Amino acid sequence: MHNLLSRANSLLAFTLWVMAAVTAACFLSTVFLDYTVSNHLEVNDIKIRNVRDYATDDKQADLATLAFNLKVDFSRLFNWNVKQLFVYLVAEYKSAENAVNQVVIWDRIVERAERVVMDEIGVKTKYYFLDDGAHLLKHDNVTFVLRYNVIPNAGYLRLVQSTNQLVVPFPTTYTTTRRS
Amino acid sequence: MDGMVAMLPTPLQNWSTHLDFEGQKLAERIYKITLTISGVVGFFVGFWTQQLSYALYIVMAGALITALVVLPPWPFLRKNPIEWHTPAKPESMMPSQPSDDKVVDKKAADKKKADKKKKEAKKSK
Repeated sequence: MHNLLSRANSLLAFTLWVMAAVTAACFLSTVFLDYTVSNHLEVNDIKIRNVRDYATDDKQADLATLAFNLKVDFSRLFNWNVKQLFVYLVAEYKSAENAVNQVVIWDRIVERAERVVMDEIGVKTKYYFLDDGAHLLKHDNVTFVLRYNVIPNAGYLRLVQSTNQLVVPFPTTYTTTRRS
Repeated sequence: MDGMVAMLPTPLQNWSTHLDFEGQKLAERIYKITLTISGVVGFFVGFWTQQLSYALYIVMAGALITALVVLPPWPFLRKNPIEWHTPAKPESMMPSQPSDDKVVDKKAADKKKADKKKKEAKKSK
């Protein structure tokens, strides 16, 4: 502390310490909050086709196409420790081939703003809904679950599931037309 | 540090930024207190506005203000100047044996004198 550089060094080190402490306090002030929201989901216009699965084993597999409406109010989730949300829609079902199948059919990044309401109508799936086999036809209960990562400014990556799920029975016949 | 000082323009090189010990102690206390306060104030402002950036901006602003108070060698930080001893004579500054012996001998001689005085004091009692 006897010369300028030494004092500047001490000052900088302590400043960084204080900034780390403020960031840690920010994390602690938000870690125990409740980050669940409910959603309003409707799935329409499901069509199943039996196609050859070129990517894996060239066998015939079920490919489903659908459109959905999704309305969620995320405003309550955003605080000074939330940078953005990574929201995705998963179709979960049981089949003869696998006990648990989880297919992500759509995702979206939702950034922080004053009021964040997602009101999507007639959204097509972003990713292929291809079954591992041909078990989607006549399936009684395919469950659509909305999950999201809460991406913080400081802290761990939190995964939250929305409070309600949608169970949908799938069509009993294949669609043969080309138009989805 | 010396290399950096050599890079400065010549009039600046002789400018000393030393503080005395009391000044250093005071400077350290000042920066610790002001930065802690700016941290606490920053946290509450950030929490109130729900913006982490505001909290960190306040800490940085506090650091800049503290730098103005602590970094330059202000007179109030130089109130207790260090009293340096006058330099000793050039010969006795050499770490050679004879002068060490002299010191040891001087100490022994002083001790002898002191013991003698004590004895005499005892005798006179």
